[in-house]
Amino acid sequence: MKFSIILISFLFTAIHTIFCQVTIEGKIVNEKKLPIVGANIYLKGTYEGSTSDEKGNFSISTGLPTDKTIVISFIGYKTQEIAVEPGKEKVSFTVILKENDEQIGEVVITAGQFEAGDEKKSFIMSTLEMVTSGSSVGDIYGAINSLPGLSVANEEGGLLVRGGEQYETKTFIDGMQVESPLTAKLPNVPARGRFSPMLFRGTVFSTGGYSAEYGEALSSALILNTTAIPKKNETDFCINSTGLYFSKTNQWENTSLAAISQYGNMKPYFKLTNPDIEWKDDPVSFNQTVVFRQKTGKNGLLKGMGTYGYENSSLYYYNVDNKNFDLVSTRNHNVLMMCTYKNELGNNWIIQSGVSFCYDNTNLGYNYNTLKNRIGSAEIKTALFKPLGKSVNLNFGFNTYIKDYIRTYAPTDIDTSSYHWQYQQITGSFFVETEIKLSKRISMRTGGRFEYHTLLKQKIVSPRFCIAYKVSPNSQFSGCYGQFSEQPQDENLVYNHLLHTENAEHYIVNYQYTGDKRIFRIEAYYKNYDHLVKYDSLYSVYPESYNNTGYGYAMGIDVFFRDNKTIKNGDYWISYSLMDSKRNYRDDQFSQTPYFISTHNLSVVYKHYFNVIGSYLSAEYNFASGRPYINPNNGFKQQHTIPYHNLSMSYYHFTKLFGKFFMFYCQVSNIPGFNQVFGYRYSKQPNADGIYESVPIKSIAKRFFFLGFYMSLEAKPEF
Amino acid sequence: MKKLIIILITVYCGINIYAGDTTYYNAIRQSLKIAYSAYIPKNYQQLANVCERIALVKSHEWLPYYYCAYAYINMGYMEKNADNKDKLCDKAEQFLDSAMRIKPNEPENYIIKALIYYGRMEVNPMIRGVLYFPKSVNALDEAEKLDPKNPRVFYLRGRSTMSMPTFMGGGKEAAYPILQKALILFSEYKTQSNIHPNWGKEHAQILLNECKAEINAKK
Repeated sequence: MKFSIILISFLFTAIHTIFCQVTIEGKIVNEKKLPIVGANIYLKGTYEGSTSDEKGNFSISTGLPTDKTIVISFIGYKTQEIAVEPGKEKVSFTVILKENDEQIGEVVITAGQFEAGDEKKSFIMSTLEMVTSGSSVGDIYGAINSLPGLSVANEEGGLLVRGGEQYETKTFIDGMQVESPLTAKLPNVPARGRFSPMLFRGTVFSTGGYSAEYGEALSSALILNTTAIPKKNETDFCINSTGLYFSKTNQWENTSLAAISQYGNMKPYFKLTNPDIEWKDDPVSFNQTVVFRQKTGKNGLLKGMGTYGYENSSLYYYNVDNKNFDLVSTRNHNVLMMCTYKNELGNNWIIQSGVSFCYDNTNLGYNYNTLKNRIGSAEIKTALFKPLGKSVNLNFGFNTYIKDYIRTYAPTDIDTSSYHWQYQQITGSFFVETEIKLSKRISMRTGGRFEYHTLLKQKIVSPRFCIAYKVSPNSQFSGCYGQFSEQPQDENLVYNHLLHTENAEHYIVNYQYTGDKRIFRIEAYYKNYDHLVKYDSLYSVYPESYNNTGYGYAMGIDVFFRDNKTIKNGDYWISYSLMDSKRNYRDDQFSQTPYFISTHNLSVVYKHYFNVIGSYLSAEYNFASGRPYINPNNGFKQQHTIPYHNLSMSYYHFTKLFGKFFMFYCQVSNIPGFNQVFGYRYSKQPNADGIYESVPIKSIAKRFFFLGFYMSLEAKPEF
Repeated sequence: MKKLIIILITVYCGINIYAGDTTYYNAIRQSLKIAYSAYIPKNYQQLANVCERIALVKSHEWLPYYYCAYAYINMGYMEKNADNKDKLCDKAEQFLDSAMRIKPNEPENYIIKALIYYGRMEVNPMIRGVLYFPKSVNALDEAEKLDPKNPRVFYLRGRSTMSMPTFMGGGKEAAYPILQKALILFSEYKTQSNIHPNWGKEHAQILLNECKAEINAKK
């Protein structure tokens, strides 16, 4: 018995001695041979391990069997495994860890692109700033106007990007093209965005060279993404000097429903401020939007949005020729319905599909003549995305866009007949794009778009190519080349159905540095336009007056610098553009600089946050060199207006009363009262003294005042 | 004889299994001791490394993942470079996701969630403040719902109230009663074991003293 116990004890001890003490030691370094401090070195499947010290040295002393693997891991580096020879008492080695590609920070193609949002570091503006920035509160397009590459033509509104006209920028919501994103336009009254910026999270604004997924825009694409399911119920109310806003969002487990109503009426404001223009019907507008979201399955999201908009306004516009006033009016009804679906379909495929319908009815009046434009359009789109391995992403899809356009002209005081013109265009397109990570530092995006227009009977192939090279973790160069086409504008196409699409070619190079709370960006571009529509304005209803012999170019340099580090609680950005552009299009007699281009454009925005009182002060200074205009009194030579200056300030104050969140804001534009002249309108014939009389084109008021009060009826709003 | 061998083998195995568990318990306790002794990145990295090894072996326990997240988010607070801060927050979030998957109704996990939101806000408060602050409030509210007596909820609430503007219901005076409640809860709080989370008391006391000094100065 005793002997058995001793034997068994011996056995156990013998078993234990097989697991003898082993020392594993060494050094961990990176590819530059510098020590890695804090790396985790351990025996796979056990707790035994060690952390590397300041010199990268480590030492593990273990009694466990050493026929195991050693694992070395550290944040930012690829984990390594090393097999250890069993039976040795001491093992010693040096390990070189390689940097983790994904951890370096993706090489993001930044040429021709600005992103706004709240999460990624590459974002240059937050969504709140989109709502509150610029000289126009609550207008997305106004907020973007302080970025480089934009011509600020205050009498126009919308976006004039890098020598391009307003129609050369297209707006997309959740991937679907929006037929008329801007409100109707009266002369000298700027158009505004139709949608409340509160609807969107994540915006990509391209200044050129945009992805093959989008088309039909010669200059740029504004890509807006609506919010995902909100986290809680919200009721918001806002009253300001232009109208009222009310929104209610209800959120259940996987569903949310929101209704947003906006009513605008400029009558009280104009009564108080006495603008330089005489209004007959002060602008009145109404917009009702309903947004529906449903989570389907684990990763699916179904979004539906419907909006109805109505506007009406009329004013007396000075006629230089007869020295009288013409009554110019506009009335518009707009319905937009959109449904998009996004889901992951196994095997890493992501599908994004959508359908949209738009109906737009605009009545334009000129004295007693009326022009009615009606648009009915529908789009169906599907895009598929799949990562092919670690370095390649594939994105492709197709869409079909149908548009019916009917124009009716009724010169009611001449005769009772009316004239109709219409067209129907069906465009089918297919796009393919791949993003390829060629190496740790180089990334490439290449693709193309194929389109067919039934009315124009035209096939178009538009290649797009972009490449980015990361010089250091914080800076990179990128470049883009692309061909872009756009069908002629409605007012040209409706008279001549055989026109060719207008084309543009973009060449862009850019350098961007994104540091700790600082961004610097410089970009140079060259745009080549051809097949621009030309016509004889005296015979604009005759198809023979139209052709595609127009051409032009635009080139320049844009500089952007943002810093929210240097000044405590302060944030500022400076954007400067140098632009040179000439065109021979529309009814131009010869090639000239378009009327909306200024050679130099400068914006300086400064924001300061007063933490203690919860206020936010923002000041913006804009400068643009003189705008060109043709002076018939000077032999029809091109002259320039005085330079444009503007200094506006806004003030936001946040407060919490009775558990509810309030925000009060006010804004004044052109505080010093600078004289702003955008151009001149000349009479068609000289007067008795042989002089062509003129009238300056100015803003509808010297200064704008905006006062608003926003209230969130639930306790904590999520912007 | 056979019986004896069987008993001895069972006891031997039992000892090993128990030893395995005490190793787990001891390993965490040892690194916690080091981490609490001096709040420096090096000690947090050690805690993270030890807990990462344990988590890989004992993948059904939430505590190792919790401490990994806790260690990385604390390293995130101490990091000056904004890029690295974000990466450390990412790493903390990775581990927190695992901890939450294993034990979804654990209030301490929601507290770490709030810490990660604070970390992300620090990277760019002007842009990210409006996005992440409400989320951090929601996380703390969720933690309170799961355990109304958790002192860390009130400690963190008091801490963030101190830096909020006064008109919004913030400031040191407003934070004082919240921190007082936190300290009372700290003294009453009983952890499930020596290695369950029990941090924050010292700092809460320091903050309480600051608020008290402010109130006294105003008198």
